[in-house]
Amino acid sequence: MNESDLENQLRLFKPATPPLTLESRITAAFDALEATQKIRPAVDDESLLAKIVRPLFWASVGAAAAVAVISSGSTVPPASGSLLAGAVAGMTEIATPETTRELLAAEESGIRYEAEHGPVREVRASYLEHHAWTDPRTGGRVKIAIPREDVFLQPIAMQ
Amino acid sequence: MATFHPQKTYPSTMLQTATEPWTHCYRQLAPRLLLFARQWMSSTTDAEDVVQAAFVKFWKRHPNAPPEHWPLIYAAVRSTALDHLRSADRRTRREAHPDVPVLREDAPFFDQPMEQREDAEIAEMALRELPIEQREVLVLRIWGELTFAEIAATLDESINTVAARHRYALAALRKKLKPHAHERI
Repeated sequence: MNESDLENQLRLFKPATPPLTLESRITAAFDALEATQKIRPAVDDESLLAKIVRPLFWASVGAAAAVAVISSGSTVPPASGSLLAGAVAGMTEIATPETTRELLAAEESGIRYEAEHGPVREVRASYLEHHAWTDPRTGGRVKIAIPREDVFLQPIAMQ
Repeated sequence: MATFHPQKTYPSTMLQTATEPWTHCYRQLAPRLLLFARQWMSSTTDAEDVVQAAFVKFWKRHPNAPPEHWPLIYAAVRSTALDHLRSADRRTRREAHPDVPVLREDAPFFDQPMEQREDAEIAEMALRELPIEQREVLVLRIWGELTFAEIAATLDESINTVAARHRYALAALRKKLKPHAHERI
């Protein structure tokens, strides 16, 4: 019997059919997965919105506070409309802001499962961003500090 | 590393649409995947768990995988089986008790009609005696119907290595089956 004959003989044996329950289990696993994926985008949208709104809120508060503190000694005109809009409108000729970032804390906030990337480690870093503008004509200075939080996802190799 | 060949032709039945994209793939490959998983797992139940985990993992990553990518599922089965064995080994060492025998379930590898059952049992016995390196190549080649290039990609070996293992496996099987040749095979 040559190799080819032996291969053909072996092919006559049909691998055992798995029980029907295996297909049901796989179906259930896919259903569970689908349900998870339907929930996840809602969570992501919420966190994205929070990411956008949170710095804007703090920027507004910071700018308002800064403008309030220095308004008596500077030539920045009084704010009209929102405090932030007023502050920005009055600084059109002011030089490029100086920005520094101060790392306050970086901590691991656990491991979570991403449908696309598998398990990932979540690391949260908190910063305080300092922005300062100087008016070259008057020497007036506007400073604001914005708390900021970045979330980093680091894929975990399982093997 | 060898790559899969998109130009390979697949039976038209494999291209039919099914309710879910994975369903047709599963129905085509399930017996072969299970046979492949059983090369590592001593229990059929564990082998089924491995197939389930690997299959879901593959389709989650490749939700629209065309048939030419399906051979990758064998690689997923293999890596899942090896992971399972590693964790089972740790568990066994942790829970080992001399009075408790290890449960070994030996459902047959093949579904055969009654008149061929003895032949299938002889072939299975001979297959089980092969080293795992040869057995996995043989199973992928004969029952998985993969090309040597696809097997090489699945096992992360060179095509030459895979072809050599296949040759050795067939030679060993021929030797083991020879005494029975005049009776059945």
